[in-house]
Amino acid sequence: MRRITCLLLVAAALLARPARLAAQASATTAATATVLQALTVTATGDLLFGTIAFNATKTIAPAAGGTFQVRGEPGMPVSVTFTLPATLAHPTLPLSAWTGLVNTTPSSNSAVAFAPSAVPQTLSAGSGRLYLWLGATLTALSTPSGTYTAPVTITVVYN
Amino acid sequence: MLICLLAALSGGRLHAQTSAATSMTGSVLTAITVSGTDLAFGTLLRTQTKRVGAPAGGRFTITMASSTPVTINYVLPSVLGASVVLSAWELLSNTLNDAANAQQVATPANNGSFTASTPTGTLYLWVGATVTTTNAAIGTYSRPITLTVTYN
Repeated sequence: MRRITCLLLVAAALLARPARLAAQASATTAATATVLQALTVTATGDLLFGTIAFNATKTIAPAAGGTFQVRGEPGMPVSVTFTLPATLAHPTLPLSAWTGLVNTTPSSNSAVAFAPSAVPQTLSAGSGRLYLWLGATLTALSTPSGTYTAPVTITVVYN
Repeated sequence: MLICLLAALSGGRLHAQTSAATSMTGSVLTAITVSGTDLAFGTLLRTQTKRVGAPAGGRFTITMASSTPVTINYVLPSVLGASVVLSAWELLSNTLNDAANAQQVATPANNGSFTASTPTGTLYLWVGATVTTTNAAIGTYSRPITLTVTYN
């Protein structure tokens, strides 16, 4: 009887030990953010068609057209979107064939051509500055004499 | 206990013999694994508030024994750096890799824990938060998010 009791005690003691060994795992990731210089966009020159005769067409090359300057974080690509008017504030003054140049220096001579569009496009500003030139073609149909103006809007955001 | 054990082992010298049987049980569990991806806020201006919700935020994947409760301990940073503050943490979980239908665990403090189990053996957690910069210095900021999972 004593032996039976002892065996049971041994078994009970073994059973009383934790059946499961503690198991643990961990992982560390990161919360990250990059703080950038604020973007500024300045319209530095209007796209001027000057005077145009009835039933005439006039094209202004981008190098002689409207200008914008963008300042931001050096090396950070930005997304540029244009809102371009279809007419010069009158249905008989359609605008077409928009053209653009972009450079990181204020010289249009070494600028690269791009197509201004309502579709965002990525431009790189290695120096933190972008200079953009904008040109278009204006057609004057049977338009009443007068002065006409329409806005051109550029929107720039960090990618 | 030792005395009883010795007595039991020496009992073979007695002429009388008897026996008893019992069973010993133990559970071998699948090792827990935890892996994760970063909670990336992307770019901010020097003064700005930006929220990245949990479904679009960092994701942890935990594998463990199915239908076995675990305790999940989390450590979330309160700042990313000087003048870059984190707040409104959000934690979602799902046994499927489906953040859109995940359950909100709680509105966690920066340190806390909760109990979970999964019938599939895999648990997904998504973490999101709001970052606020107040005239912060330009630069890249990073702080750790740690998740520790332990069998109960």
